[in-house]
Amino acid sequence: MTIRTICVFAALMTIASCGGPGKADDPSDVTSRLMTDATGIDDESFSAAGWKGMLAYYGDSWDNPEGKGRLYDWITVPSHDLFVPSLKQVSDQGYGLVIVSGFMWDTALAEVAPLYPGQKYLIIDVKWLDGPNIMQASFAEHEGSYLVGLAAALKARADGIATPRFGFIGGVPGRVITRFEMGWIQGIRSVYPDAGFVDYYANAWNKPELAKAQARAWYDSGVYAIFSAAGATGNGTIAQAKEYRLSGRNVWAVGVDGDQHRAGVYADGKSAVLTSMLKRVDRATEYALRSVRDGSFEGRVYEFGAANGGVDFAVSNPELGDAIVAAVNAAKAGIIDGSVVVVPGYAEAKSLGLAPDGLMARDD
Amino acid sequence: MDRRAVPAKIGWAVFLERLTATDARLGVAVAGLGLLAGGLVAALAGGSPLGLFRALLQAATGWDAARQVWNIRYVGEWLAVATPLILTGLSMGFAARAGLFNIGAEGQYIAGLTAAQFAALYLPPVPVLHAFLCVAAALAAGAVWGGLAGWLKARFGASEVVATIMLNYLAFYLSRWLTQAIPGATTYRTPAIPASAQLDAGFLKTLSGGSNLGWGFFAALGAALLFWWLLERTRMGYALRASGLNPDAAMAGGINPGRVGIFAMCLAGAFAGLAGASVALGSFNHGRVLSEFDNYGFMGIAVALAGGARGFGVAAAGLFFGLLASAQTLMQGQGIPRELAVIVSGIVVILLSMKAGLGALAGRLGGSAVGAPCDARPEPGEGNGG
Amino acid sequence: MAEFLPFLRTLAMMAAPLAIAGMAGLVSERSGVVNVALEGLMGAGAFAAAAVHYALEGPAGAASAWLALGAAMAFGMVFALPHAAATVGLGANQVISGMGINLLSSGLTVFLCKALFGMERTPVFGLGLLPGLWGFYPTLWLALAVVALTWFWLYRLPSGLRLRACGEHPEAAESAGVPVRRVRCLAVLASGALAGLAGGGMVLTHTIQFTRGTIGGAGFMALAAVSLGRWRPGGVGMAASLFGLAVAASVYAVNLDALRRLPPDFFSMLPYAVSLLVLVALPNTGSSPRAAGSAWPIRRGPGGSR
Repeated sequence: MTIRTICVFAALMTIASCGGPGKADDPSDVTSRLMTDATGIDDESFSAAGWKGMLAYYGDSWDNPEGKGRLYDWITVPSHDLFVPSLKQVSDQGYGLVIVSGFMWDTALAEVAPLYPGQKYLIIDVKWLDGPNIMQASFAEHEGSYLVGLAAALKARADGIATPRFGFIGGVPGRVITRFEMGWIQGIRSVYPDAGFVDYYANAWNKPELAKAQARAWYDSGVYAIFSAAGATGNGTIAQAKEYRLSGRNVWAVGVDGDQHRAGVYADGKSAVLTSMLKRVDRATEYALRSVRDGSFEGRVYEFGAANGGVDFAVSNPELGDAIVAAVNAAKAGIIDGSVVVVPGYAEAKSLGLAPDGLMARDD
Repeated sequence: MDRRAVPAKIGWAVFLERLTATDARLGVAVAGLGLLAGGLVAALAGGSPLGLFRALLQAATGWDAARQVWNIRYVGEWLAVATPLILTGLSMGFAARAGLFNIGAEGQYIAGLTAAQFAALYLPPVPVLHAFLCVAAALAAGAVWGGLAGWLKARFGASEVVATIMLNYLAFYLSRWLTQAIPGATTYRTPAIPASAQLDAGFLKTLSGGSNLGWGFFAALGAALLFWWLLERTRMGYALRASGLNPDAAMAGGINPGRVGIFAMCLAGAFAGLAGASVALGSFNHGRVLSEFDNYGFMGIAVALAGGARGFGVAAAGLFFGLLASAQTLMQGQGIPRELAVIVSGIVVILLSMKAGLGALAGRLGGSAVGAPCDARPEPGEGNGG
Repeated sequence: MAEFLPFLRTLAMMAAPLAIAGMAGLVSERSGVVNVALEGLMGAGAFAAAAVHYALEGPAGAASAWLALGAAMAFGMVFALPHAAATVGLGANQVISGMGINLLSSGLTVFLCKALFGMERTPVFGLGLLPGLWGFYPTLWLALAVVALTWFWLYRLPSGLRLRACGEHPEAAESAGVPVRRVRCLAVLASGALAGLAGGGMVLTHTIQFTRGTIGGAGFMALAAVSLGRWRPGGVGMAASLFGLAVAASVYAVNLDALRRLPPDFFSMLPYAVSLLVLVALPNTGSSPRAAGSAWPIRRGPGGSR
């Protein structure tokens, strides 16, 4: 199995130079379907971002998906044992591109893709499959999380807090979520090497009340900012941060996947979401659709990181301030040129002294 | 609601009475009605009702009306999806006939699934025997998990509703805990399961164009037969039905309701455990660390209710709900919202819950005595206060 | 004590909706109608509350959350209507009908979100119900009031006595002139309103939008609380508190160094394990309403069953 890991910076530059969807060279010849698990695409998570990329490719918007149902659409599959049959059903229809969202799909796709050699696939968050018709998009979440960790720590320093504490709330433990946690810690520790750190896994993607209760307990104990990578569970963190900021307490939530600035608005346009770690799955879906259209589709791994804008941090909250944004951008440049190294795994981070012992993160 | 004396039967009252005369007829009518309502909802959602029926046709026969191609694999997938639904339906239904409300099929399903995975990974990979042992392990685990609720009720008087709800969650998290402890397991899957443990049958796969259809489906049909035989043809089945209908009278007749309850819950659990095995050994070549409920157990409640808690009724209802589930991907491809399947199921279940009332209504409209033939039979979940 | 108060607040946040939903189940079952539809009715309420609050938060300001709770009650009642019609009007099997409502609600609420907002959830609202006195959410005071009023109604008012009679001895009640069917119908509708309120309170204090998983089994936990509380308002309230305590403890326990090495699954399991243990440990007084689950009037078909 050869995994060629290739930086797609140049390719993405081509997208940028195209400047939005080229109506002239009709994108409508490529049909596509996005397949997700039961969560769907409305959760502002990576599937939502993938959907946005499709919308962008077809020149539609979220509120007005004109070509939906005809050119493109999304399909949820209620339980994991139905992944294979559903994938086959969709492949039977012969779309230009079938996008599967999430690493849980890996074995299903590995089983189905060889049966449909003419069908092109894109899978998100996977880089260990092999096949001429499978494009794989993998994201360096730790790099983006480093940036938001740095931003939160710098904000704490700007607020004059000597020994701030930080928290991380995850959904179900696993290696993808660990990358978020590790990046977050390393970003914080680049400013406060001895910062206090707590973590919690709600063990569910859909229990906001647990995150809310934990966020309250932590904020009460002096935690300054909490980063949640936990799907709808993370809504609880944002809800608690809103309440406390409204009552005048200086605490923050940090959003994930998409820009959650709007979800954090509590009064007069002020948001309790300091920044969000952006995972630009839209770039992957849009790029894949374009490559299908112009015939450059290749079955290989594409790494999306800070270097090519695959991960980033959101700057919609004015409270962040220009100085912090500039400093974080400098760190981003450092990641790109290699002067700043962020490690993704817990074991590795622990051995390098970058993460404390006793966290709930898992590497497998 | 006055009882007017109607001299002659009104036309549609006769129709209604005929319709409700047998469970089978009523079931077909209600399923049709539910689908019609579904078409209406689809139209309201801006989708095409035609697309809905096209998707159902394709899921049932493999005929793709839009592209004019036929693919038998769809039939196989339909039956494969229906398999766990039939089994969890039997689970709920069996307990219901004993007057027990088994919300716990989900937990028993998980117990079975987990046991099957463990057996698949740890028992020697002897062809045929291995798969049998895996299924046996699933049956046993499901039976233990179901029987536990029955025992808690018999021993401590604990409501089986509450106990099974709690046991569902306990099974889910215990399964996660234990499965992740398997050497080589990650946070989401176990190492590969040997082929000797799989329930797929080569000829079925060939016959059904490479679908997931395996031995599990025949196990489900066999289970439906067993369900009927146990209830209708054995002493234990008689005791079980008697204590479901009237526990006091049954006790007076020398039946020990506690023992009957444990037996009923054990068997109910075994059915659900088999469902777990059919999924664990029939859809993946590795074990799973569950990240959410598969929901087969919860859907089984609807299946059992729609099937009137009778072996063949449940099998038919399982096929119907399986069709809806199997057509979901196709429906969404046609721009029809995925909630439709759930809405149709809900309407079907509510309509069926009213069958006694509809029969009575027909009788009243027709001027005959209150009551309808289908009312004579006990209904699931009866005589239980929670 | 200063350490303890935040814990109590969390406990109350978890327990209050369960207690209200428990009263919903209690009222219905005491009248003789088993209500396994609590989950679906709460979902309907949660959807309505989130949608109305989202729409009114701007124009109505602080009153919006309370209007949203009103809408939740109304919507819960609308969803209870088919249950009342089926079980009381047509003598339907109560469990089947309830499960049908659950299915219908889980499909329709998401469907309505799609129709109204173009996505499978409501948009994010700004602030839900805000903590008030002593930092507790108003749902706590609502829950206490609902439990107290339910007790007062059932045990101190003639109409409450009549309601209980319908659930214990419908024959006797009917012969004493109580319109059993009307009482049961109203009880189911009241149950819908309360369950809707519980769902609304849940979405407005736990999160920032309605999603398909917002209720996530709370309705079934409330059903468990009814049984655990032996069909008495105080007991059901205690059972709900116990569950809230277990959830809150599972969240706090992670922060103790001695416990955090345990797998997260252990903490997730805790509330359910505790409830099961209590269920087993409590003496069973067998106080479920005697006639709950059976239709009225009792029909005797040719087979003469029941």
